[in-house]
Amino acid sequence: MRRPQRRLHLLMWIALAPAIAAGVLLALRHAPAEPLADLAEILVTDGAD
Amino acid sequence: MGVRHQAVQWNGNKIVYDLYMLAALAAFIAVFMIVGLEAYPTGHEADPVVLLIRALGSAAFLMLTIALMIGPLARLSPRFLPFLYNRRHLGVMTFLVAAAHFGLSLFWYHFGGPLNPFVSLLVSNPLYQSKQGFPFEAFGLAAFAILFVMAATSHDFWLKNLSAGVWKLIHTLAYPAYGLLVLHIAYGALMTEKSPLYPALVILGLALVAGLHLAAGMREWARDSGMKGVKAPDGWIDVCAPDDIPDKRAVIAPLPKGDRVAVFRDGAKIYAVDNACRHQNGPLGEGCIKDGVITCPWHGWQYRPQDGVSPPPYEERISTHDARLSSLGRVFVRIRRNAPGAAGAFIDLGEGRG
Repeated sequence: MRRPQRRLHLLMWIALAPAIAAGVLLALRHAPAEPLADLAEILVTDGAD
Repeated sequence: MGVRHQAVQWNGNKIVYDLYMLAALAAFIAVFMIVGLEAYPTGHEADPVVLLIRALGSAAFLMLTIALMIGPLARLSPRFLPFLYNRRHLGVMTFLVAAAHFGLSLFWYHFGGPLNPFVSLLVSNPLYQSKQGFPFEAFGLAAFAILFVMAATSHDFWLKNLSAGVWKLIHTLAYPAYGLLVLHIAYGALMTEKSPLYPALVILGLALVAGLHLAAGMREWARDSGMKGVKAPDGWIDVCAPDDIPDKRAVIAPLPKGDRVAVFRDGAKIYAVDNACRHQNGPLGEGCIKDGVITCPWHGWQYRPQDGVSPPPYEERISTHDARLSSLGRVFVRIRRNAPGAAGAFIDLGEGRG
């Protein structure tokens, strides 16, 4: 790879890794103590809500 | 490197690889379904369709994790280079599995209602303010859109027309796509799971992919920084001694402005060429000389060392650099590249210089 590509790859992961990790931690922190119901039960398909 | 258009570039090796991949995928889905039917994780009655949706989604995530690990692993150790050869087939297969997951989810959860299934997908869960019920579908849809673009441009037709740089830039979108997939899982499937095993596996995948990319990237950065402060007022740089280059192999040297030169030795002759392959900018210097031609370690593209031209019937060209032997017996390479396909001065140790 050329140097700009090499740098882009590295810089992307320097930015992405903590952002993704923060998103996952946020999700896990707010995960319900009891699992949510099955997907079919929580989805509203008529768009009214 | 094809001279004629083929919808998919298969050869014997790739067909065998694809068959193995299909067998592994079938085995993964079968085990997932059997285990899932025995112990449905939510405690609800097992639903084979929901299980299949999850099996396909899990398989796509696993396949993308593996595909993204191959690149940095190959940078860190040449033992992983063979995996690069078939990586694009793995990527396209990942898209197809993701498409099956997407299509089945759309059909199962959004078909048959009053709304268009695609509209339903986007509006059925409006809890964008919620951290628990966040519409994880949005993450998955965005990731799927990226995978679609990548799969659609995976053919060498696009690679050649877009140029290696633009093509690689587009395919770098695989990284944000992976991040979106992780969030799709975290805000979706993980919200319905009690076992810590599932979040642990997702975090492990993310840690492996991110950690390997960071490790490989830092190593490359350090190599690039090695030329900082090096002065070459006469336009030539001292690369190494001739004996430092293994026969049929190369020494890669960074150049002051960021590119790299691959200095190959073929018996008594030493040649210098641009280190970036025309195909995907692969590191030619990590390849070898086979049958008298430089062979890229990534996908086997070949170039004659003396002028950088691919052997007939191919027509690709890379740049050579002039090489000379100094009075102290060191290999010097001219920093300025020759025009692609133009022969460069080379060293003939049998005569002293070429």
